[in-house]
Amino acid sequence: MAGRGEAAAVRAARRVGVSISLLRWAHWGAVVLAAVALWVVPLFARSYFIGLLGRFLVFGLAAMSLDLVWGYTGQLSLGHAAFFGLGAYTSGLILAQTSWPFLGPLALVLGILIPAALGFVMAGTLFYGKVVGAYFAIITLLVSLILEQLAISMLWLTGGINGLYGMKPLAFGPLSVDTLNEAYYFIVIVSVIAYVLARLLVESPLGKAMDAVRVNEKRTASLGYSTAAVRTVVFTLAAALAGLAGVLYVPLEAFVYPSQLGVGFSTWIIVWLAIGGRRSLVGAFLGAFIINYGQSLLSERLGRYWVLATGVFLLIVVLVQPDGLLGIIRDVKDRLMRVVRGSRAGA
Amino acid sequence: MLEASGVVKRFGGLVAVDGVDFRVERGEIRCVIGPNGAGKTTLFNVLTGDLKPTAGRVLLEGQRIDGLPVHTIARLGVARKFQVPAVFQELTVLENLRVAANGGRSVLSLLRRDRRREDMARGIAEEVGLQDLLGVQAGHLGHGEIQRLEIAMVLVSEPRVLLLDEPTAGMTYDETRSIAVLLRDLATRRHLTMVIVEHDIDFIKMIGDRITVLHKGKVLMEGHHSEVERSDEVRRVYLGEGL
Repeated sequence: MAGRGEAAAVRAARRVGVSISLLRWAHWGAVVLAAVALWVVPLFARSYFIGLLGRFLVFGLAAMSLDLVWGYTGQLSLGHAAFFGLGAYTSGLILAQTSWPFLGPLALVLGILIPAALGFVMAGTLFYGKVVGAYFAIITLLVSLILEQLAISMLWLTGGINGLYGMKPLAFGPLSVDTLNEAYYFIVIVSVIAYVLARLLVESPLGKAMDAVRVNEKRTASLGYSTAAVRTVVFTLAAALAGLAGVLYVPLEAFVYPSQLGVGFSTWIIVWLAIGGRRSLVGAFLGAFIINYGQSLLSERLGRYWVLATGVFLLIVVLVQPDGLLGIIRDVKDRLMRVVRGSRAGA
Repeated sequence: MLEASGVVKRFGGLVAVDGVDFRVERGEIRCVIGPNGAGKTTLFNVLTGDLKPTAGRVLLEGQRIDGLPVHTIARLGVARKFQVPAVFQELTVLENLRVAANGGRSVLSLLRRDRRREDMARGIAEEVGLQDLLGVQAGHLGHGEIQRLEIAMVLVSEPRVLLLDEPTAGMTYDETRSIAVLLRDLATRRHLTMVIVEHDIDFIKMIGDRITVLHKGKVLMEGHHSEVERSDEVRRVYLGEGL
């Protein structure tokens, strides 16, 4: 019964098994290296670059949040900035108070919990009401539009189009996130923790359920999963993560403004993730880095044409490989491995 | 174990299932056959909860299950294997089994790995003969291997009733036989009740239990395969379909 093809498949399986555990070690090694590299940057970089890198990390976190929802569970959120901006406004409003105690911890915790609560209510009503796909995406878009308009018109609370400024530094007891370097180090620490937690999530049984829901929802339900519950939990966690990114943005910009909640910013989050590559977590940071670094280099020379250039670049990447730049890297790696195997088999 | 009484399913003006009564005992393997359009798949979908019956009841050990959501019925121990391969192609054999093994857990508890379930996933891979292919993407498996993986995936949930829709479609004679042996073996060892929709008469003979023949949404006859084969009525409805 066990023909030659089957035997070959078994051998291939064993080889794949080895390379999977190798890749896992390589991945965690790379995470440690990246964390160390980010940590030492301020020792020799100009403050302009430190500020940029801090922004890229914050944007990467927002894109990683979208990756959990769009990449893993397959539901596109067109208004993801709503959660980012809500986190920023919540923490900005708290840090603008004068008489409250525990401002820092309060700004951090509520800046995560309030976006999470909005995400929970949205996901709960929509997913349990079987509103998925395009309809879900449109409603997330509307929420982002509405929040942006509210931030513009509720002058007494948000300062309207002028935004919020003059906040006190984010402080935890004696530890204060005040200078640019302090903000940067804080962002690096939180980013690394958030990445590790997100990685553990997608490797957990829940992470596999997220994949399963995306690939075949009906089948996943027949295996005893409540697919609405899986989507709701993941969307809530993602909203919390986007809110956290918004909280981190406040000490960096010292300024909170309505477009941080809006559709324009939501679109950029989608672009970063689509270019970097979905379903990898790393792709979110890669895309945020490449697009924003490219913008800082080229926008002076290209002016308004920068956005057009980004659009063309996105189109090319997605046409070549729908899984983005990391997908292209993966293809190249697969092809190399095949060549290596081929030459070994031939020897 | 599993009982349908007076089940009717209408789609607009079309009556797909027209008053089916049907009872399967614990540990029995019941094959359901019938020409195209007889209502086999619709009946199947009513049993799994994918469709709500227009009238009639479905009972699992005396408890009504018709109208319950699919995942609730699954949690009660009714597992389904689809006709079209529905393994998760992008995931590996082991990942597929892990997804199956963790079914029925509350979503928040899924953040933690459950040693017992992970071990069970590997154990069942061995039980159906897939232990050497754990790291292979399901999309790269052969036809018979995919069917084995699907059967393994429904076993992981430790079902009491297993519903299989054409488990051997497109298989060679040898593959069909090995699946039949596997199913018989599982029915005996696990006291598993099965309902199988199948066209392949070789497979039905290998299984060798009672058969229900559906025709135009109704039960035409029920009996052992030798009786069914001899029946003139069954021959008539299958005329030209080569039973």
